[in-house]
Amino acid sequence: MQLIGSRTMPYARERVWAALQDPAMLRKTLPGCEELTPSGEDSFDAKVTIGVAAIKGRYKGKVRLFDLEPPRKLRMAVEGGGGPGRMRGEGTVELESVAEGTKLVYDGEAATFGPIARVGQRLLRSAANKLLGEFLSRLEQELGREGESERAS
Amino acid sequence: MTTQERPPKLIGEPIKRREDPRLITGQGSYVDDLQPLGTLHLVIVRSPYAHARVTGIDVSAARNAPGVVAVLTPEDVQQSTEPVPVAAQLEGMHMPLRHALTGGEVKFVGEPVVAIVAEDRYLAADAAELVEVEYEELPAVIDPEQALEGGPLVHDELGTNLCVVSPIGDAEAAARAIEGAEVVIKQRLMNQRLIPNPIEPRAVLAHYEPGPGTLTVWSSTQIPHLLKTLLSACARVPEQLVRVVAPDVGGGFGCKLNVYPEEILAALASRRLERPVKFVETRQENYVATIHGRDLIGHLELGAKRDGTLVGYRIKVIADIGAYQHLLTAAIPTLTALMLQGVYKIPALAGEIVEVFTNKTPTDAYRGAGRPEATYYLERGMDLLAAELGMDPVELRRKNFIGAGEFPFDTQTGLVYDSGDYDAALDKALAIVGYDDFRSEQARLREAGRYLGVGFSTYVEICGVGPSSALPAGGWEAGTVRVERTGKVTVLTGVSPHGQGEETSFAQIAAERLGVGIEDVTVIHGDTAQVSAGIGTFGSRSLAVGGTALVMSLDKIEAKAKRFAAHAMEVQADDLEFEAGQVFVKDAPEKTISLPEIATLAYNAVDLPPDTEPGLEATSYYEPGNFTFPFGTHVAVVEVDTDSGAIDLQRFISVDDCGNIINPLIVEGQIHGGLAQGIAQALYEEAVYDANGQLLSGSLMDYAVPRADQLPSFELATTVTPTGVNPLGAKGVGEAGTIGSTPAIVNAVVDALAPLGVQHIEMMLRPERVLDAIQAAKGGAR
Repeated sequence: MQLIGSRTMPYARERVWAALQDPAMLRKTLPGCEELTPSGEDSFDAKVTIGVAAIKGRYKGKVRLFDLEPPRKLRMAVEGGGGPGRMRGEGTVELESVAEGTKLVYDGEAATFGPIARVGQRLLRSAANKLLGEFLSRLEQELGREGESERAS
Repeated sequence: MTTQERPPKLIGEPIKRREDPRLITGQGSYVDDLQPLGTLHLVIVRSPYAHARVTGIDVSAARNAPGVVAVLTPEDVQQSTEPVPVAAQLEGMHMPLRHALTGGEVKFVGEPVVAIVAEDRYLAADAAELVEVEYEELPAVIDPEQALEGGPLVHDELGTNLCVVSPIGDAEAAARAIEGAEVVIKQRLMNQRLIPNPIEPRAVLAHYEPGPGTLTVWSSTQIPHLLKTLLSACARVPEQLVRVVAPDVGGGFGCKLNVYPEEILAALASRRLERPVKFVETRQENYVATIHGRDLIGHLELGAKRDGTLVGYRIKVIADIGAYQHLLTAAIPTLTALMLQGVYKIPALAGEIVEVFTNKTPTDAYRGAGRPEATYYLERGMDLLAAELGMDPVELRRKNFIGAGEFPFDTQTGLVYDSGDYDAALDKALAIVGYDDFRSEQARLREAGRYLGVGFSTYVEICGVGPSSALPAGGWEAGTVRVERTGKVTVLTGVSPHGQGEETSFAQIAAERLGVGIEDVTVIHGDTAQVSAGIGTFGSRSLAVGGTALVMSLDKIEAKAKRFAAHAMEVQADDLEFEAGQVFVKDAPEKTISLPEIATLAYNAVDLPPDTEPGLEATSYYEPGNFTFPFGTHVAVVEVDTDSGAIDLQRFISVDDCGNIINPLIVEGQIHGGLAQGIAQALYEEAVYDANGQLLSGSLMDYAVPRADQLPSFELATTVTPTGVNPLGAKGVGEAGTIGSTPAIVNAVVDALAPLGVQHIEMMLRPERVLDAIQAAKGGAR
């Protein structure tokens, strides 16, 4: 399953880059994230509860960032599993400075195992896109809130 | 007795199925409707990987979860039960066994690893999510041809993925015939993997009672008696203490002709916990944990003279059987081998069936079981040959038919076809479709850029399974008739109907023979405590084999009733006639004695005839002397949209000959369902795996079981050529629709696209494949 998309946010590239590696920020913005703890250099352990249709359930997983080219590009490997099955994926996130701020472009490939692999690829893709969209919206929101509080102080 | 007093004729009448009001008004009783006090629920943790080593299992959190009563692990189960049984054992076959739970290496997605038993289904499912299984993923092999050519090994210890090779026919003669043939066609033909999809998934409820030491198992099964024997061995309970009941069963199509790990686990758990334990499969589980069907690649070579006379047929079939053998897995492709010759005279024939392990769900019997594949290969082959010769496909078929006068007919595969009149069925089908008119209409519409096609399939299949020599656990059937004291009749049969309507058809036979109303006859089946012996329902055998056991018992009842009547009437039994529930002296029908009167004599037993035991009950075991061979002609008319690749199935004509018919309504119903499944193989259904061995078409969203609006109104007809194999003259009809229909559809689509140069399209005929074929024929990529 390939996941491709982009989002432009009105923030500087360095801020978006920093946010993507900040456990506190990720905890707040990853949908259903209950725990996110660093487990090594650029690696995290995560516990996530997903409430979307056929992939509903609790998952435990590992996220590893690699090939970092700050503040422009990183690669990410994700592996996880829970009641509804397991998944494994790898992808690239690129940040591009544009007039409106930063354009985040993602391109990843994920494989699913067990029951989630059988829920229907159309559903799975749309659920994954929904979760990604939610994550990016929250990220944008949090960055905005951060900006406001910075201005306020 | 005068003819006016005769009760109505029942045999051959379209009587509505007596079981239906119960089944369609919620009065049926399926396994999941049963809820004995204290029932526990079993949920399975399954492998998410197609091939992986289990490196750790942690069930501590699950054991402590609310409502959990027991957690079964592989090690424990392997010590306490026997392996999942495999009955079909071919010469030289590799047979890797597995237990109900797998510990070391899992070999397909859905393979059971841990079982949770809890107070209710939901608590069990919650606890299952807490089980931590660590896997080390291993390379999986998904494609059977790759599996043969040195792909990853499914079973390391075998050193090969080859399960068994079974040759049939005379390979040398076939090779010579094909080499010397004036015309030879060669084609690779895929018979894709299918998922059986009964409306009721599997379900089992096991109840061990420590006092008497009995184990009662209610299972959604086609084979209660075989399950009793096999489960007794697997769960280590003496057979005489095991009772299996198949209550109402919501379809099987062959997939419930098996013994499954969950049946063994429920029995083990109930024995341990001394409480009833139930397992009900979800549809999701059904897609990976219940057997699949088909998945055979045929490499066909068909040789003929220029005038169309067949001279030789050779085929290599690669059967992808999945990760393990189930009960009859290995035997199913050998049915393809047996039926290779079809309805034709072929002087030289040879087949080689290669069965291969892959990391997929095991295959086994699925409606038609081996014959749809054989029919598809030969009937596609005939159309390819007709195209090559520029001959009408009808004319080519007719030219090679085994003639009506040539039965019994010995095939090159060692069978003896009982009876047939293939021309008669073809003639009837041609008349219904209006063949000549269709061809001119087709030509006219082609001018207008519309692509219509007609496709034929002239099939013969093998039914009434079968002589015991052909089956691993007996091919006979048992049946009991008991005339009760009041003259009411109980029929007990060893077949186990789950949609075939024997509660009606068997009652028709018994009621007509004994001259009672159909409402006075009750047919009991599916309970090993009530029905002493049986084999079960599969292979279109219930009527031809089970019905014959019933007829034999009716004969015995008739003879015994005559002895009682003769004694009471003080005449010779030989002088008596038994007709419609009355016994009377030949040529003197005014003096009669009725069945209830005879029953009273038999059970009161005050004045028994000499050498006669009290009671009026008879049991018979029928061992068939041969299979039966139903046949017919199926015709499809399609229009193909060459812009979108969409196929519009406009007409489907099905002329079937299943010998004598007991209930035409039931025959029609069986044909309808069979056609839906056979047409769906051509047009809608395909089990698709990804490269990791994950089933992508893993739910009803992505696996297209056909809906009524995807099928035309079928045009059905029959011819009647009785069999001499059994006294009913009946052949069986449960699978005919599935066997004949698939190639007719593909032939019709290829016929429609023939002017564009299309010669073949692999199933299922999804629009993109149709478009690809059109583009390829035009000599370019889409």
